Amino acid sequence: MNCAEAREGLSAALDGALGAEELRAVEAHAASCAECRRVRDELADVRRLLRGVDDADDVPGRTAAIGRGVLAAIAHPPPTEADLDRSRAERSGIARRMVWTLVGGVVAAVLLSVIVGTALTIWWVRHWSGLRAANPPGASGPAAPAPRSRGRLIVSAKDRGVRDQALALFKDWSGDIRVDQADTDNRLFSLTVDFRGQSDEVERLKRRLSDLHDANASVLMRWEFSITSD
Amino acid sequence: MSEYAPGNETVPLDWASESDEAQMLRVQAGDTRALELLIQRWSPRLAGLFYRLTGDPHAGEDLLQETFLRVWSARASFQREARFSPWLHAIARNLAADRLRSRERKPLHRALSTAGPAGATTTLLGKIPDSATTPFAAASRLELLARLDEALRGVPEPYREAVVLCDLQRLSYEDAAQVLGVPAKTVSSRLARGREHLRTALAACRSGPLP
Repeated sequence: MNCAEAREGLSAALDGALGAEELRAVEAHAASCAECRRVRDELADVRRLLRGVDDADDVPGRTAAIGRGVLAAIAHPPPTEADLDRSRAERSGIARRMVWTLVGGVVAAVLLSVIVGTALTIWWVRHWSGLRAANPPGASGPAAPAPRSRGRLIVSAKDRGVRDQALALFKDWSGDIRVDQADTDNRLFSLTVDFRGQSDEVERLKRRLSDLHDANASVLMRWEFSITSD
Repeated sequence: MSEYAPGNETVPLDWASESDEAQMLRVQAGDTRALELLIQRWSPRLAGLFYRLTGDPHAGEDLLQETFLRVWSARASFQREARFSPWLHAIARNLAADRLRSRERKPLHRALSTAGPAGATTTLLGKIPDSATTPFAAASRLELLARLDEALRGVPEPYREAVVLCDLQRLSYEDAAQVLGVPAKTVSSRLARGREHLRTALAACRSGPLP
């Protein structure tokens, strides 16, 4: 046995905790080792000092106070772990429900937003397509009202046919029109037309009347044609 | 001994001479008077244990109360053939370990001298039955106990537990092993190391043999 092995045995030997064989080995080593004998004596001093201490901390009145506290706690026990677990579980359940309600609300709001957004998008695309169909590319924004013009035609001719041809040009007139005709002893045939309509129709009329004037200039006694924009 | 009446109810006189195990069996049957007797018997000793294990002089009262509440709540687990002391110490030691884990150790500022029973010197360590007849001799013992206290605080926790349980609480190796949940051989080894720490620390500050 070396010193290190003996040191552990020396402590146990002081308590009588060694078996006979171990005790003999420790004693044999101590008998031949002055340092271990000195350590053994000091360990014995330490043990004697420790075991001589009355380590009870006896504060007057404390024991009675502790007894009262314990009995009061037994009579009115604080929540047990099971109670606390149950309480925690309930709180946790409430919290879980709140979270799921919140999540459900958010999901519903998102779905509603998607549905409304999709519907609005579809409506807008269709509406915009319709606008584009009504207004060919190049037009910007909703169609503006077609420009309108008004005018007056006064014709006097020796030939009744010329007056009737002029009148025929207004046969399918889509706008407002007022016609006055007059004959003078079957020798002069007059026509006054006040009209109002879309400018493009007025322009078409103007071209036809111009052709009629040019073709019959020799028999025309009076020809006045004027147009103004609204 | 006069009749003991810790609460409002009186306790039969012959209970005082009965063992802790007998009282514990009464506690198991729901008798709080027996619990009060055990509190009276064990509180001073466990207060010293808590002080030694936690290093906190203020930890004692709430840990004591918690200990006996656990005795009450765990009373059904006490085996009829078991001994009460190691069972109680195991509860107390676990509470002290929990306390140590939950907060840092605080330095000791307990007064060196407080009033104590006649014939004994009360210190931060406890008491050594004092035969000193002169103020000088009493002062020497106080100084020695202060050194022991300081040295004990420097012992690593597993070794200090073994010293506290075996040398200060006077538990056998087997009982200390039950408290710590380790084999008795381990207790022996830890106790040897603890004593060696103390021997070295005390030898460094004394020239003669310990009183």
